[in-house]
Amino acid sequence: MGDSSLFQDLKTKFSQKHEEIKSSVIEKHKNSLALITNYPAQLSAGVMGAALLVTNTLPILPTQSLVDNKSMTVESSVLNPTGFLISDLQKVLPTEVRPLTLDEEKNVSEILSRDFKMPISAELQGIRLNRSYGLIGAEQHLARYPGDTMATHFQNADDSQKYYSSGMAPGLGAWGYFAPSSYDLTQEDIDREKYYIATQTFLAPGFDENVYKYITFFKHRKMLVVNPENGHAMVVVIGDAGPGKSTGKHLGGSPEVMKYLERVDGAKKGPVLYFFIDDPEDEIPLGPIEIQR
Amino acid sequence: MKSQFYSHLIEIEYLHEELDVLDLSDSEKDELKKHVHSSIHYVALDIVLSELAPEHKKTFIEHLNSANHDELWVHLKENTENIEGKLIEAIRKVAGEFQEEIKRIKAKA
Repeated sequence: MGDSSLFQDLKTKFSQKHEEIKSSVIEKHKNSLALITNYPAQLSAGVMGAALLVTNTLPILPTQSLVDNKSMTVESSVLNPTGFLISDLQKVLPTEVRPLTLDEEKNVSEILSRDFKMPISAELQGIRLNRSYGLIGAEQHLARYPGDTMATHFQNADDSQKYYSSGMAPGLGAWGYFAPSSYDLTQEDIDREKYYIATQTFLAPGFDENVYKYITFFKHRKMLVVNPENGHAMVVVIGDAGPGKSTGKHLGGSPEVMKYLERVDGAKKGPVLYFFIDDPEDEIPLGPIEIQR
Repeated sequence: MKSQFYSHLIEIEYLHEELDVLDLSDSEKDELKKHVHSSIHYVALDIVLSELAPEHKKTFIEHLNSANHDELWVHLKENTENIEGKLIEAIRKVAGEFQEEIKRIKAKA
């Protein structure tokens, strides 16, 4: 065990110096650095800060179930919480995979908000995606910083074994790198790449008229993605834009997301629900989430 | 630590040695070293981006992104003057400032 006061002194000085250098370089070269980082050039000008002030906190929805209480009592002896979720979703989702109506989205939001104990909705701050229920396809890993390769991408051998075969996308995600260098890579950056989905942000209603506002809103926006057939759910961020309309798919999932949801690409691709999480204080961690009953 | 496009210009192993003799855990030493390396990285970017004309910055960034250091240096040498000297001077300065902090805190301990 080292000398903790010595470390704290050095850490304070070193991080202070690092921050000074970093801030001044980013400010000075923000337009050029926007090409290699996920920080938009406008960030330093305070545009992002102003946008974040206009948050629309949704109230926590009531915990009342949409399903009939009597049938739930009967089923409770054989169904675990996930079984309830699957059953509840089956009752409100259409048989075909199509965009949900506003009423259907409201019903799904209520079920998910109740079961995961967080405010979940298809629309947030007046913005919605083109759909909230669609077919998910497989995406590849994204480079997190300049020089990130398949050789540097995994934190342990187990992850490497499970996810190496998915490979790395040849281009960057829609918002560039997650960090300007390997030194700056934080756990938050790692989790954002690990648990990302690609959504058709460019097809969102109102996108063409408000491109900057929408891109700012969608960037790393936290969402809940749920496989309604097995109840597996994960908190993710929008890490990329896609897939193209012609693919027949409506969103994409990172290798880690696809594996956890037990969804596959190709002929056997299946649907998922993807709804916004209102988490203005950024308190909800990314990754798999269990039902909170 | 990962090799950067300027790594061959200046040796900063002496800073690691300064930190290695301190009564700190390995993870604490690593955290401090990351601050040093990241700071140097930003300083190096500052020097290069300040020296390159706007039309040459994109190519530099593309080479940097692909870690193509050979092409990056060809590009820098064609479009800047004495960039190596300027990088060495700036990196030496910032590394020296970190070294001073270590010495000051060691003397205090």
